[in-house]
Amino acid sequence: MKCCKTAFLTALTAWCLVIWSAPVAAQKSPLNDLSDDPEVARQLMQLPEGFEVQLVASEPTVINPIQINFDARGRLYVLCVPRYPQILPGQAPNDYVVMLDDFDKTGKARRSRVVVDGLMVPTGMMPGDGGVYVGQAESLLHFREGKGTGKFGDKRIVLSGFGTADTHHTLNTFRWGPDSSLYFNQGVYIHSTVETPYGPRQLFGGCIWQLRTDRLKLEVFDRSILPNNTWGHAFDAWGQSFIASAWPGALNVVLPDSPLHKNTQQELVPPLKMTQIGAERHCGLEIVSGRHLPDDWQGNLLTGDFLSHRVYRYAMTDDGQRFHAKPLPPLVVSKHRKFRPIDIKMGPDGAIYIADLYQQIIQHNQVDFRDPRRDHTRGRIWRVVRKDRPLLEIPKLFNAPIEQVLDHLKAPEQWTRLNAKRTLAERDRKTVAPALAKWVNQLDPKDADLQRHLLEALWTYQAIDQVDEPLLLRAMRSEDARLRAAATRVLGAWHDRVPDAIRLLGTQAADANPRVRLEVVGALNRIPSAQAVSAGMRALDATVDPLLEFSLQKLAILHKPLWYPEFQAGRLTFDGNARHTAFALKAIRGDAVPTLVGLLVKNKVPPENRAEVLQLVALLGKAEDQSLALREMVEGSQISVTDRSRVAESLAQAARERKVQPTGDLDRIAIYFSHENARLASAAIRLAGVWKLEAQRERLNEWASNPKADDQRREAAVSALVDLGGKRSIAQLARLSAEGQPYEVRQQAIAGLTMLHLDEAARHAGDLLGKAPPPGKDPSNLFAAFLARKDGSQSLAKILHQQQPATDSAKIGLRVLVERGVIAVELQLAMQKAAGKIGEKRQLDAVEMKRWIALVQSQGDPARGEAVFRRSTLGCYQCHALGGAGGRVGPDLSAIGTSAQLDYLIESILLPSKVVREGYTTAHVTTKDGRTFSGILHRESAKEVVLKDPIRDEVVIGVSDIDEKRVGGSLMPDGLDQSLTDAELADLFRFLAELGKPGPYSITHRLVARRWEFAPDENASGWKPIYAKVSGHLPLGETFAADHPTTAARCQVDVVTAGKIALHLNDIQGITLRLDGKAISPQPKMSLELARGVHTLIFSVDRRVRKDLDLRLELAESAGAMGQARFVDGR
Amino acid sequence: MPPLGHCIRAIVAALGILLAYVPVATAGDVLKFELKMGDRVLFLGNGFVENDQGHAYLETRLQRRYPGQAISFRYMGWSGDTVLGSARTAGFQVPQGLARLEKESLALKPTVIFLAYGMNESFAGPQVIADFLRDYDQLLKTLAPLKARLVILSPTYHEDLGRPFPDPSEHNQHLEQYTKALKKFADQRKLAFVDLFHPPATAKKADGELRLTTNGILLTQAGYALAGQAAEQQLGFGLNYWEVTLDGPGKAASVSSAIAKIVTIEVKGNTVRLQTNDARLPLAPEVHILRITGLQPGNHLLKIDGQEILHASAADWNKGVRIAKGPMFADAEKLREAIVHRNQLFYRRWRPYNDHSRHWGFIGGDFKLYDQEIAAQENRIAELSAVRTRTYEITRAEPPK
Repeated sequence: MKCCKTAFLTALTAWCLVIWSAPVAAQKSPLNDLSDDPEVARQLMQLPEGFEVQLVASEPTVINPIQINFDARGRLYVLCVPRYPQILPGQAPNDYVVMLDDFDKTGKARRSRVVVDGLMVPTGMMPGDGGVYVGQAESLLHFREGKGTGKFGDKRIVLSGFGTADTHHTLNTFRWGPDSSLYFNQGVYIHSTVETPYGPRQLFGGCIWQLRTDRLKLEVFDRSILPNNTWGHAFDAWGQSFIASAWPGALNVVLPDSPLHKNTQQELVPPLKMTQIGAERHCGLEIVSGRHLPDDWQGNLLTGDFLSHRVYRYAMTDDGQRFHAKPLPPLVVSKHRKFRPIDIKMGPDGAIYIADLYQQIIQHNQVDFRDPRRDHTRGRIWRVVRKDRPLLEIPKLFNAPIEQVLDHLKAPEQWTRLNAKRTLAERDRKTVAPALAKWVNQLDPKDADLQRHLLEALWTYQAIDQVDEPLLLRAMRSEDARLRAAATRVLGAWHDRVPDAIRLLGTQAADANPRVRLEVVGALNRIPSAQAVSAGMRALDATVDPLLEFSLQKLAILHKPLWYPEFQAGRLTFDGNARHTAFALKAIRGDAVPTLVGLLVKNKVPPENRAEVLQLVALLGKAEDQSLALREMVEGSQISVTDRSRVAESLAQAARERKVQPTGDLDRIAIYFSHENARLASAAIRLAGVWKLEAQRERLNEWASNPKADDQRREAAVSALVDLGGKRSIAQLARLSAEGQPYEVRQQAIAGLTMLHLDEAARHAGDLLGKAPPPGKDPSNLFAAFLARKDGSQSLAKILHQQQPATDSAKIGLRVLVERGVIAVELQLAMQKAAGKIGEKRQLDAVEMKRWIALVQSQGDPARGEAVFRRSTLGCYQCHALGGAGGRVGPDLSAIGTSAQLDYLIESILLPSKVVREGYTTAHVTTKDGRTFSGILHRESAKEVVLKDPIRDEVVIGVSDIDEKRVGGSLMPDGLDQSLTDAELADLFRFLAELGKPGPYSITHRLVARRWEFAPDENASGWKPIYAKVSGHLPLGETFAADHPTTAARCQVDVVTAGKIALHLNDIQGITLRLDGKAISPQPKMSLELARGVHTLIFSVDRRVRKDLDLRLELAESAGAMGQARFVDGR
Repeated sequence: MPPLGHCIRAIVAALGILLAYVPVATAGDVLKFELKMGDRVLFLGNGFVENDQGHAYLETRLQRRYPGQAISFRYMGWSGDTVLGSARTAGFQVPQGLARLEKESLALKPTVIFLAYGMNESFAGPQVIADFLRDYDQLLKTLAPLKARLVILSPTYHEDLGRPFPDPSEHNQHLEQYTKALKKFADQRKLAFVDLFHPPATAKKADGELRLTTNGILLTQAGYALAGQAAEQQLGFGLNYWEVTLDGPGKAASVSSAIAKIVTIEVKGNTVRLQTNDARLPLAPEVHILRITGLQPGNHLLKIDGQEILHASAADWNKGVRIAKGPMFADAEKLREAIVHRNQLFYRRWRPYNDHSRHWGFIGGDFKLYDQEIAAQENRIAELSAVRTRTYEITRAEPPK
């Protein structure tokens, strides 16, 4: 106690000093953005009008806080982790939980007490069950509060076996759900196998765990999305849950009970995003509620962005199917470089509390764990209040009579309602039950909030772990869909204690509201039974949105061992409903093929599913099943051209990947070679190749050499000749490669030849590359073909050393090397010789690094750097995105300047393989037939390896085809810098270092079109990608020289909720505009009525009028604009 | 701190029951299991082993039987593991299973391996026992190149913690079937076997108040103390029996157990001073029994190495006094703590925080530091287990008020 007092006095003295000194500092000079004076940091925060930020606690009481949470008595627990991210061997563990309370008017906590210490890098914490839970490495711990004022004792390992591979992924983001389960998260590199009294629970990867602490029942709550770093989780008033993730930076809705393994089922990931993936690095998520804050803030989402030193605010809307989050002006914008808001919580007083890790260096991926710039001695807790309103009185829950606590369930503050339930959970449950029943009976049926109160009562029954079936049924039949949805989730939790749960859910599956149906499927997921799948399929009877479709597929997959045998034995019939049956069978894919074939034969597949079923049979079926698909593809009368092409493509894929092909007369497909639809024709041509239809050879050769054939068909024919193989193909391709043939034909033929006869191909390539490519043509596909072969680059290099390529050919070759990230020294040398420069290996020692840093700081210019970044020859956008626009293979760089230190940036570009960012490990695969692939290791299963590369996005390679696989290194190419001068590099570094920092290189929150394509005019083919600058402006001057008369630029808008969409255009000079092909009149402020789906806007620019004026298009906020939309981004 | 006291009481109570139980259940089953100077012992298994590294009663009981000898122990337990190593991973989304287990076990070159598997498999019921044994065989084949002496531990017992926790009666029937099957499996291969299912089951039956597990299946400190003692006895180590009788001041002593060796006996006035070299440290519930006949009537105080231990009347001394505390018990606890500390160091080195390949550049340097710390701790363990001379002093004194 004495110790506490002393600490308080010391703190008070410090506080006075701060107050005295602050005004002086403010007047004299701009505030130091690294000052360790809390008052300076406070003054560097901007808040909305009428709000103020107060310091609750700082060092030495609080150091590096990671999580904050209040207990039901209104005391704030702070998890302090000075040892983060790694303890030094021999160092004593000294991380701790400190409890703060008795906050004065200035926000200051007058009392503090360390309640747990000696912890070793804990990452999550939550008071409850008479003490405090702490997530520390492999263990979930509990410490019990004793009678006195000392430390909490009785340390208990509640569960253990959680993974420890990465301290920023270990157990974090503790949250009590309204159902009184304790939720906590783990990140993507965490492998947990926990021994529970219900059996082991295993999960490798990111997820949210759900724990009933009173039963020690642990389940996976969510793993349907890709939560790499999910550091925020909040429930709204109706029990829907939302997550904020730092990587990828986005807000998402949680689809509960989705324990699919991401590595095997990622293709099923549904649209759960509420925001576009952006530069934000969210950490902490809270929902605004309570009378202290403005009415129009209620239900807003708050997230901390530790990279940009901000606390963001979003308005959440719900269109019945999906939730959307719209950015609002931030709650806090700080210029202080150590301000790292990583947890946000509403307090019992209605104010907003912020945990500030207070670190200059936050991540441990790129910077040494023991870098001296890491600050292990400071930390801050802040409180944001409204200046003109008093704080709320803290509700009395602890030790209050049960009836009083029950009445708090009606409070407008979510904090109060949640903690009332927590309090009741910890009381004598036998006494609570009758009081609760009485409380429900006395609810006023006319109360406008009746539905909400009923839900609170239902949740309170969950809190005391008692089933009240009548109340549950009443809630499931409520007029309010939000209550029906929440109650359905409760039934899922109680399914083994409510008789007839499956039948009840089957009835609920017909609900008119899509979210209720979604909850039905979630609840059925928890019931291991064949009947659950049958009941779930009833949700198909209403409109099916992608989320529901995903959930139903998952249900069928998860429960396959239960229902499929029953179905085969004829005991499960899906009530004879063909649509339900087809959906379930389709979901389990390969396993269902025989059944699907049976249904096809008996003509029992509903027409709307027929094409899809055929494709599935073609792709996954046995030879005789495929024959059925082939017959349908060739002769079927009710199948569209597109579906015909799809079936043909599936057959080709199956032949290539599984070496399975139909029996019977295959030459029938030749009738389609000359079909008017190029896609169908080329699919048929390719099939002839993979099926090795020797009888078609001459016709294929004709198509390959026909100069009038379209590119698609000719390419297919060359590839078919390659597949046919043998001496005849080599001779045919050689003829096509020779001089006299059109450039494109030669290029394709040589590329094909690389598969059959590398040296022959190289010889022809030498001839082709010896001359500069004709205008509009370039040999990049040819280079790519050589690079994709084992020994391909050596073979080509040998020829090019003897037979020098034209300068332009060589330049393109060098660019391809860079774009593909291939290291081919010989080839590079041969082409550099021709291109006129010889690179040398860069050295980067401490002295050199110092020189670079000095150069960047003295001369680097971010505007010039952006221009360097945008150069297409460097290929930055091939892999990296800014504000979501650009490649997705490498990290999005929108805020790289705030996370990475300058030395790291320099090193990443000059010596890319030295530092590889999390999730960007590369794999280099050589297949048994000599092809090579390099890319980011995207996922891996026993059957296949999936790489992501800059050109083809996803590449799937069967494990049985792999000869060799190496992992490691960066896809970021070496030698990227060789075409740049030191001054240009300094500019580039400076640009990267500025990205995300407050100022002109901070990606705006506004929805601006960033991904564009351009062409000489709107009817031209060969659109090329171009991206808006960081400022959001599309520089038309970069498309064609100023004397070019026109430029066409197009972008796409994805409308998620139909309605009026407001678009703002910076200037309409010289612009004509088409929306989905129809001319519309361009206006600076447009309001368009748009249907759901993707729409294309084409801007035709008269450059003589507009000159080089940039184009900027923004989706704007506007009264009456009810639609929800976003721009399509990516590469 | 009340919980600790409670804990110790529980251990003592539990062991009391155990002592009564063991000779009956394992009579005839007792093996001859020995360790040798320089042995490297590896504990391999599931959460039982992973958690045991924080308690280490079995190792402490073994270490004290080889005082001062360099026998090293390593724990490679992994929560949730199965005989195929299914919980073992390599820090990047790829389960490594048996391959990692094999690589790491072989690298340690153990001469003795304790295997603790079956709890996780048992949740799938008795119908998969055959699969479990088949996979166990594969594990043995994997470890065969080591030619190590193997000890197979049965799974433990699922404690009933009352509702709303699950009713474990059916699971316990299954666990018993696993235990029986494993015993047969071990016998067929002439491997040492320890039954860890029945001792806690029996203890719990005798005293329902015992809390042997944290969650029904993972042991508490009391649970590990009990398991350690059960294992020690089933491995054929006799009771640690220390009894010394002094027939009157100044007369000859008789020693009823081999572990106490008298060095000197001195009598000065009202003080009897006895020095012994004890072969090994005692662990609760073991006691030392000291009998002295012919003391002057009245109260006599016992000090061991200068520490006041207890008061007893001459009549009690004449009957024999049970000594359950004192520096030898404290030293045993120090030994256990040193072992636990070494285990923590090894665990942090074997499965470090941030054990992700891309961090190795940052933590690689730590490994050398850990190795130094582990080596220092090993020396301390050998030191703590070594034989030492103790002085027992019995003086006429007023009883405490």
